[in-house]
Amino acid sequence: MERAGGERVGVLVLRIWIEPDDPPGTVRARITASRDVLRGERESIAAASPEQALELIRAWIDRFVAHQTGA
Amino acid sequence: MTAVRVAVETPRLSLLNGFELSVRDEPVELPLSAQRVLAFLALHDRPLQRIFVAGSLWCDASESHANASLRTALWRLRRPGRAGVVDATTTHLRIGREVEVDLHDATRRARRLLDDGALEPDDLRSLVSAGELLPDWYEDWVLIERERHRQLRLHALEALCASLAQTGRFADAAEAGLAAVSLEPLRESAHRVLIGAHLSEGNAVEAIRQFRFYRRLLRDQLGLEPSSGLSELVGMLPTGDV
Repeated sequence: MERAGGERVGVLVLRIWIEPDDPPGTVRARITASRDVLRGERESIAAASPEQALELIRAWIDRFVAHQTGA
Repeated sequence: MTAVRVAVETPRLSLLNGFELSVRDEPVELPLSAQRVLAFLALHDRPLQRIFVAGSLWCDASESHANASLRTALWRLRRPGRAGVVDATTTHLRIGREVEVDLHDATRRARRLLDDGALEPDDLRSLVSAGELLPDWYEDWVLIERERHRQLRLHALEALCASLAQTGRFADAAEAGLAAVSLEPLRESAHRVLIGAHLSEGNAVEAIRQFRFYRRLLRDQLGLEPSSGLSELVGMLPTGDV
């Protein structure tokens, strides 16, 4: 979302839950994100472990920053 | 004889699937600042200190600027034809007691289904069509409430699916179950109640088809398998190998 001064706003929502019969250490995570909330475009990805969820979040932030800097 | 349509006097505030205020059945156009105040008060549904409302909605502004913005928004909400939309005292604000808020109705409906499972005629239509809370709003105070509503709706749809199957309304049960699955396709309990509804109807083919869909989704997206309980439930069916 572009605001005064060229500020751009992205939103990432992490939903995480544990299914009782999944193997130990497993989580189910749903990451819903928008890199430009004004346009309303959303992406949705899933992860099965804390590490995978963090990796996806890191990648999303990197893409958000790269878009800002034009990298 | 011509039917006379009587406009509903009670103001109605819709927050699900988007913001809309209507008075006497007519939509009321409001600037975004007034919409935010109304939505904020409706989400809290109790008296709030003015200073808290101003500070929450204009958190980047100075206190005096935030208070001035709140006063302007309230002035727009008090214009003719909008009486009773906000109850205001010198210190506190709350959503008008006469205002019907769709979110409040959806919450009551979901709580009833979860607490005692009692069914009412509009439950299916209302819960399936309820939609997201203010889907195009991204402020923090909306995001948390949106997730709370989403979780409540998800659990209520699962409960509704099970109750409808128990009463023999299998098509309606399947619709509720499919709505729960579409809210979160990786959630096992949503698939389980839907598969259970198919089995209650004696529809083994649909139960297996749903199980296979869930298993493929889990393998593709998470590299996981359905629980042994669910696999055994479907594996016992006369159709054999799943």
